[in-house]
Amino acid sequence: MDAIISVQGIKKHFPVKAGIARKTVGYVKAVDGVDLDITDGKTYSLIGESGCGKTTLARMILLLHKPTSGSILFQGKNILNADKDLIKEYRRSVQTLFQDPFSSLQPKMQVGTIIAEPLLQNSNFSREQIAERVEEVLDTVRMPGRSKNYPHEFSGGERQRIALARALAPNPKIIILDEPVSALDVSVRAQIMNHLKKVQEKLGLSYLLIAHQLGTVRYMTDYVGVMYLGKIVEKGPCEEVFQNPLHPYTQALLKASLPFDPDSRDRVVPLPGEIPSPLKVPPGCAFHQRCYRAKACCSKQRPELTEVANDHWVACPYI
Amino acid sequence: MYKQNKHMLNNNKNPWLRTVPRTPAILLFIILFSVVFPGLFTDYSTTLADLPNRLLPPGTEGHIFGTDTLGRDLFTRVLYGGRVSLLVAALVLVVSGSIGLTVAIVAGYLGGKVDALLMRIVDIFLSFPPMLIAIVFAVAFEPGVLTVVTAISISYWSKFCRVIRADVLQIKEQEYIALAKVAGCSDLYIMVRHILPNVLDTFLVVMSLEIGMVIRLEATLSFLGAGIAPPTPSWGQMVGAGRDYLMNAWWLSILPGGALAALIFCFNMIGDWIRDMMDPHLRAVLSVKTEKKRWLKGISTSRETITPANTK
Amino acid sequence: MALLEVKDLKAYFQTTAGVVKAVNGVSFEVDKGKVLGLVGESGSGKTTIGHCLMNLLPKPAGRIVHGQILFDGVDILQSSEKEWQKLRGKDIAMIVQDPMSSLDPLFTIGDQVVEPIKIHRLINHKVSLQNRVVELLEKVRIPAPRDRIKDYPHQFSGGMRQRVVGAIALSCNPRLLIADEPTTSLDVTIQAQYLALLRDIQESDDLAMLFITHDLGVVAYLCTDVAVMYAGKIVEIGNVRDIYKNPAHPYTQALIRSVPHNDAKVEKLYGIAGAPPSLINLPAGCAFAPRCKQKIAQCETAELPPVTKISCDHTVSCWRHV
Repeated sequence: MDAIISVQGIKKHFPVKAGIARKTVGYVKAVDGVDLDITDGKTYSLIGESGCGKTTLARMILLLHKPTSGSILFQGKNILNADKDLIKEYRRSVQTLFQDPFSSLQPKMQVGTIIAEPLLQNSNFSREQIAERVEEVLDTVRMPGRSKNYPHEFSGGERQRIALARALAPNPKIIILDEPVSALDVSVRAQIMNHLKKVQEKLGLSYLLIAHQLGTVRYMTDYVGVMYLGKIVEKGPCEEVFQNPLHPYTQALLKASLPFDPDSRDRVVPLPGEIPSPLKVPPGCAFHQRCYRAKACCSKQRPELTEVANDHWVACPYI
Repeated sequence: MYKQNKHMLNNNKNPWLRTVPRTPAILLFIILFSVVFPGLFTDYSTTLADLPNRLLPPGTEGHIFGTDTLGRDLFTRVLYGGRVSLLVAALVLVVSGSIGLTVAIVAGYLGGKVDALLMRIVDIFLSFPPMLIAIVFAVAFEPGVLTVVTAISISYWSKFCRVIRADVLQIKEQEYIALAKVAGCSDLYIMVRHILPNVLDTFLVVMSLEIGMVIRLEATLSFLGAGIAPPTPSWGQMVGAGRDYLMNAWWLSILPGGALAALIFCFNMIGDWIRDMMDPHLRAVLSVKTEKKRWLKGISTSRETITPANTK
Repeated sequence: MALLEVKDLKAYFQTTAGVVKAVNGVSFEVDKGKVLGLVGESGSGKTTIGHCLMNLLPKPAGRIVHGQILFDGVDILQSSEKEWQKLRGKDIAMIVQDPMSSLDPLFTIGDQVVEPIKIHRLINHKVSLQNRVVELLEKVRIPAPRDRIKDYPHQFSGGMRQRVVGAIALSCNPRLLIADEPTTSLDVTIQAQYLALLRDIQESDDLAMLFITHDLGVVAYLCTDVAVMYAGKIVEIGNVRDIYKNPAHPYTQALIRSVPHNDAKVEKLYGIAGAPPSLINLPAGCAFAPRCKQKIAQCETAELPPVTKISCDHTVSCWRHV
């Protein structure tokens, strides 16, 4: 299947300036070489902890940050120096949903206008066509007729649905979900996740899901990538990675997640050590300081992602 | 006993209306009404002299406030003078408010070098005492409404700018701004359609707290002779003109001065109320006080929190 | 007699829209060595209970209008503010969600850890104070504690800061620790470390803990007992195994079915339709009835369901179990 979005070798290094002359003294290597392909109708997830770069990666795909190097291809064409029309098409096709439903909707704007904004900016539809489309998507998210209301009249879950309506309005091919349910109440999360799944089925959408809760990822994902300090350390089909984690970090992540069973308390094994800062990424394999399998050469050479089984890739030479 | 009829404010639809400070609100309404429609209250002219009737004390037949040195009815002059004070205050707020808002939004949103440059300019303007600038300006140019408005606005815009910029910096971090960028909105669009509507709350609060100061500043300038020129009446000017007559015709200064004080007091009280309503914590304080008063008067029904026995 | 007994606690807030009944008749017990998990979503009142136990409700809007809090048999709600100050930090300590706002950025962590000890005058000698601080930092497993006493909060990572907050809370050997969502903002592996630490400390010091959270995974890991809250009331309370294996209240059951498990692929999740009721105009009778899929005729009446015992340490407030 052709990839809708193909990210190749993308890097984002934020310069750190200090001193009176504002000289660059170092770099925060938020994303340090990532390859990613998002294909039709599937959900691709990125999991990792703070500092792994998943949010920065998402924002680069959304053209909010300019990559330091690497390329982003949209249907085969380079989007980083594209003409206006291609960018408009890209902005219609790639939408997003952010984490905080309380700051995602502009408080002084009517819901209808909020939903219509991407269309107003990136398409040539007439006002009537846009109004019709707004009503259509409100129906899809099961909040019909609320276009004249203001955000403060809605609860967290409802706001997230309005944000989803906004994302669906331009008929996108892919929606980037950046922690879509972490800020919501527990019982509302299930509602929104089910909604997202239903919408995906109905419209054949692709999702790039960014989350830190393994349960959320497992419920919604087809293909998962595990990130650590700006790089993908393991990727593969979701169930395969979760049932058979190969990279020590993935294993640690799974062992540190809390089971729902009061009798399984001793299964939880915390990973010792701190997550290093992206300002001082350890040399060689970024994980070697916390890895139980680390050998001398792990601090010298950075491992590459290699395919170990059917589409299951790991960045560790010692499986 | 449910004394609903005695209260003008609709209690059920807008519960926060109950918290409006009643005396300042009523007084302000009266002042504004009479100043905007002076024709309803008086027929006298503000400029025609009536020398035989000069310096009549307040309470004389036909002149509640008395007359001034030229025999003009003081009540009429106070009403028309109020117009001028309010006009100047409104113009100052519009002018300095617009400049302050624009600079604050541009500096706060664009950040970087633009922000640094604009803020240094604001610093320069802030470092001059408003009174001094106003006097210099007013003296250098012809006295009149335009001069006074410009003189005061020159310093005041920077005051608004500082406060609003802080708000803009916070709004910039909200996710709807990032979403607008993702949708491809230009910077100008974001500044006008997303940032501007959301700073208006803060703007309103600052404005209502500063309007008292602006009125006072204009009054001071006119008092010193550097503001509105005669024969146009202005409260500050009238207070100044009556200075020499304080011993025998006290009403010439005291009555316009009293009107000034009353107006500034009302604006300050209302300004405080607006600020309290905007801040969730202070809003809670306000509503508790109001509920307590209402319970003590026997109107409110929420006895569960207010009964003194439960107070801990 | 349990260390902490809360009896029919009610805490209300006055707002312009009306009276918010945040906590509406809550009773529970926490004994030495036990961890009670207070589970609920936003608006259930769990954080307010934490504040009530320290008498730190935001005044003047918030007020405790009814009930007793018996700490060691004494009703502390009747205490004066001075007596409360003696309790806070010494017998009852609290850790909150955001480590950034718990620590003052202008003081070293050494100063902040020593502060409660100084206030309660437990140790006066300077060297002993410093040793005590190092001891506490070791207890919360901060590496190289003696070197880090002079560091400022911004020099620590999120997980480390949360541990410093823990050290401050434990500095005077409290008997009751109230933890209000301390791990919500932490990463998965850091959360696991922190919870393991909390568990070890709780077991070694025989600490009584009230753990307020919405995360069912954390509750399963750490708590001995669980109280499930909805709209200001406790709907079910019992031993953690009973609650997870045999949830009795429909809300508890729905909650458990709506959370994806970390350790297995769940085929379907079930959200709870509707929204929690407004705490200003609470319906009379069972607050969950409008959203409950297992309603019976009795649930529609305006009567509150009584508390029924299912087993010796499992009670539920539901008409279906009467």
